[in-house]
Amino acid sequence: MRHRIAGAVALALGLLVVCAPLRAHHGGSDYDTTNLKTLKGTVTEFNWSNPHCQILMDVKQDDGKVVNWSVETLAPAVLKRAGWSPQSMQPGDQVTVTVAPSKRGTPVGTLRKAVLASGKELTGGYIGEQEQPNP
Amino acid sequence: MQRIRVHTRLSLLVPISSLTAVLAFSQFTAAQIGAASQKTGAPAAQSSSAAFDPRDFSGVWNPAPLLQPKGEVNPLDLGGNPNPLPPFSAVGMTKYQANKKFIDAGDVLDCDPYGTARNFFTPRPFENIKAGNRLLQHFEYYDNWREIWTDGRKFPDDLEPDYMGYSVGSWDGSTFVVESKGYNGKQFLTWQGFPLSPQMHQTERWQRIDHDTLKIVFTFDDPTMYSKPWTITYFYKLKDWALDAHPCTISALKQYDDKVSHKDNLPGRDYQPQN
Repeated sequence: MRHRIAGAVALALGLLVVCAPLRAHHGGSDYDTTNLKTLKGTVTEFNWSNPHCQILMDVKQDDGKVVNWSVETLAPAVLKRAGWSPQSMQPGDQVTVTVAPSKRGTPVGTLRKAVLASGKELTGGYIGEQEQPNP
Repeated sequence: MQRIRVHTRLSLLVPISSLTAVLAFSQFTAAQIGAASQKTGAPAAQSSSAAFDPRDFSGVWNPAPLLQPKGEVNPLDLGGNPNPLPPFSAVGMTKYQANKKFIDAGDVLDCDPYGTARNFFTPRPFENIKAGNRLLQHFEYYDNWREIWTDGRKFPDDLEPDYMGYSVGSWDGSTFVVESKGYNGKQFLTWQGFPLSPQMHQTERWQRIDHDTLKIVFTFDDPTMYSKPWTITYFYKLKDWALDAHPCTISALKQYDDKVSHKDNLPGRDYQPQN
């Protein structure tokens, strides 16, 4: 009996893992690089993490509604070479970022440039010897 | 290939579900071991006219994709319809189309090692480290390691297939010739999803053409996926950098998924591989 219960638990655990959603990853073609968008707002989170860092920020739209945007960047190693650090943004900071927005029309974009609360300007960094699509 | 991998997991893991948690934990543990790898500094990059030892490839090298000769298959052309395509076999074309469909649905990150070719064509640096009878390669993006044996050994008869393969290096004058086999075929050869099979025999000819430029000609000989061997010529620039490699972790992927992919309704998130 104990073996049956253990087997059932193991099966359930296994199915949980098997059924977990796949981890999706953006490619460069997901973003509209021809129509960059400038966002001014308040940082709610800055996650210094692979595969890509994330800036979450509240942005007030023209109609007064506040929308929380997700702005992904390149990897921490790339940002570091472009002058960033994990402390570059803090929740509550007023920042302006330029993004290539998602082609799906969602409040998601990929970073091109940021003006920090201190007024310092930083790019989104480069990969390879020249700027390349974002894999 | 990732599509096949996921399908394989589905078919294998359900019958052996009691091992699933162990497998997941092993993958996570392996990533943590990679994190503990000691990082080393690179020699300072100098001008291209500086003296150099043509047999010394140590240091940190950054890909320079735009130096690739025009007309070759571009391993970083993410624009939907790469041109030209490699000489696929019928099997290879079918695999590529399936892989492309999978990638177009949002690509998938699962922390599996990138293999050697995809690491070389990822626009992130790698470091070469001399280590006695081996040259070690450390690829920054996924914190993957490769060892190239330089003690004259041949390929073992009992090669155990792996993502990173088994590599041996020898000298042809000042050209370092690296041959590798023993790939498990569970990874893409390039970002676009060009496939490889366990029959892949990869040859690289490394030449340091000046102080800060490394040229590598890759030849891919895989009769299952390609009708004939084909080549890519790629260049790398010596950098005065220390690598900042981070292992792929399940928790970081989950965070990315929650904060970005889910919010963007990325179709890949819920994409289910088809038989």
